[in-house]
Amino acid sequence: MSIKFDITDECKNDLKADPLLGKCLHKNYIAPIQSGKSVAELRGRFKPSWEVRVEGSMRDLFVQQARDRNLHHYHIGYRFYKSSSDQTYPGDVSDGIVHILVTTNQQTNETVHKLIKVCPHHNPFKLPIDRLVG
Amino acid sequence: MNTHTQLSKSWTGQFVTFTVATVAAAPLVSAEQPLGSFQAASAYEASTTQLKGFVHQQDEFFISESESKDLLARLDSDSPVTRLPDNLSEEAFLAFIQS
Repeated sequence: MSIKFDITDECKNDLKADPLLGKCLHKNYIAPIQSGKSVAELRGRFKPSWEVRVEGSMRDLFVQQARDRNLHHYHIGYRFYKSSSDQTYPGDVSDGIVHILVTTNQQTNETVHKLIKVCPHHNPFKLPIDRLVG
Repeated sequence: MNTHTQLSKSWTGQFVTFTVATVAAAPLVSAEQPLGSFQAASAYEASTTQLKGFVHQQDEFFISESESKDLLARLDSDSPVTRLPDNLSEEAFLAFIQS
């Protein structure tokens, strides 16, 4: 099954913040898939976004929308990869994330990854200091 | 090989310094990670960026409220869309971003 890439202007603007974002996105995501790799063969973690912990009042709506719209995210390796212990969704993780709407046309057997947002820092920096430092 | 990690913090005025020390043979980070001081039996005073890299290994990712709001808005955004050509080179992609 072939995978095509669409990118929104909003996402394109996200990438202008740092040239390294575009390099990581191309090297670790676009190029490998265009060369024939599946998402399972990528170095970074590719994961459904409805299975991620979501904080705040928008949680239920976000989870529902993410599931209904088939929203995923991928760790692009910005600025570097780190190992992860996630057994369900293997792959290395990084601060840099691309958010992707995945659609599949069964008739043409074509899958489209629509890139809607790139974040250089996936999380606000929160220190679990009580857990880390006794 | 056991990996033992020690964290401590100390306050100096309004600043807090985190010191991470590992006492094991296995590095905590991958070879590509530029935090070489995470190597065995080493210690360093973590800057915010460095410590963030470490903490992400310990903590699961999550989507914040502001990020979830922004993503929900983008799901229904009418932002123009471009189909990327097949076999797109890095140079062409970077040029496209800046166009």
